[in-house]
Amino acid sequence: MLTNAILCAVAYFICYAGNYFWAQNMCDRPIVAGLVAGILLGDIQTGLIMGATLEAIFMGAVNIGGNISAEPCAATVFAVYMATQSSVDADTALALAVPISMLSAFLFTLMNNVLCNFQAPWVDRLCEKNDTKGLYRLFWGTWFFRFFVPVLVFFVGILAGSDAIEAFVNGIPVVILNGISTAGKLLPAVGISILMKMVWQKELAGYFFLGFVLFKYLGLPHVAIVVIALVVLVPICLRDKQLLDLEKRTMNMAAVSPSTNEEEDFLS
Amino acid sequence: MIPSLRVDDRLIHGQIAMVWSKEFGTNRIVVANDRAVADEVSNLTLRMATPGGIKLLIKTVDDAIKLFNNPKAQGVDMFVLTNNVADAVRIVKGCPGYVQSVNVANVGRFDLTPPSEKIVINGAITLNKDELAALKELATLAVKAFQQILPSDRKTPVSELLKGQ
Repeated sequence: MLTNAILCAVAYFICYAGNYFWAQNMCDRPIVAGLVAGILLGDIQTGLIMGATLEAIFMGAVNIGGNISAEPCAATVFAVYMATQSSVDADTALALAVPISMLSAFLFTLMNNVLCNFQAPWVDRLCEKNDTKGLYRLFWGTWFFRFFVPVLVFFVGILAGSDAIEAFVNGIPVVILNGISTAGKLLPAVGISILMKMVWQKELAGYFFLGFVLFKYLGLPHVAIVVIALVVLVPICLRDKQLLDLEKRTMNMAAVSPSTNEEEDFLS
Repeated sequence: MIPSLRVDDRLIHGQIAMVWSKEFGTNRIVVANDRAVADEVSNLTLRMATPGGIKLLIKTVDDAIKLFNNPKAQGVDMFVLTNNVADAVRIVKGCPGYVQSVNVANVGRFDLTPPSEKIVINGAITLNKDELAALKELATLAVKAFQQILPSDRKTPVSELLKGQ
């Protein structure tokens, strides 16, 4: 129990803090966090599957600026833990992950706001003194504190709460539990919809439905679909490049002043 | 027509690129800002921040007003951005009836006015003297004017923002 809670906390720290350790490298995404948690908890396959499924759910949940909608890293580690170390099944663990991500998002905003109030004046003071070393120390100190506090909360939560959650889930009547686990299976569709809301373009709709048909109706495995996608996309990409080069050449040749040209192009 | 003229001190950023650009059924964005035309770095950054499939035009405020009065632009919808209230007021007055609403979203946080001279309306709007006067003028113009940071937020009328000023 204690060992598992520590391992979960380590996995969470590696992914969550690792993201900002070097250039926001996105290693706090479920697909990475699931793998790391899987390795540490000794079930890589479950970790990968949970990570990939949660990635589909949270793919559209990108936190832009102050707009924090979900923090999927804690949710992923938690879901992998529940799926591998308790009697809760994988689909129910997925459904449980969503409220965890929201709680964690709340902590995310809280930590940022609280720390900002302390750190910003401190930065100003160090800059006035031209203290580069101090700035480095402050940066790494803040980094550690910023991510260590949520990890600590997560650790205590797993240690004290996972038995209670397991008992709670086991106490739910089977009929309702089936409903929760079906809802868990539906969540990737919700995640894809949220993503689509951001990236949807009419021109790309065809590919979306093609992928759906290949997978659902023709039952092709993922690797085959990726190969087909490459075969379709590489020629299109090359053609696009040709067109772009052509456009550039005609632009250079055109005698019309670029400003009227740009305006007409804009209005057309 | 301009379904929405947005005052945003960052002009094009994440919320504009990901959320607002989908909101008005148009793929045209006009940035009306004198500095963005003159300064190559701002100009390139704005172009870089614009998502694919969106046409961007960066104009000085005067040129933008000329464009909006161009007969060819009459049937064309576009989403317009300025980074201060005064520019927005100039556009509303420069092309009567063409602007359908003004969204005073984020203003004045980086305009280099000393904090002591700022009037804080709320977390997203801090105004210097000139900008406050411009906002008051905006409230008197015959155009819907409100603050709405994200489409999911409530529209707070400018008259409500100006209460007590």
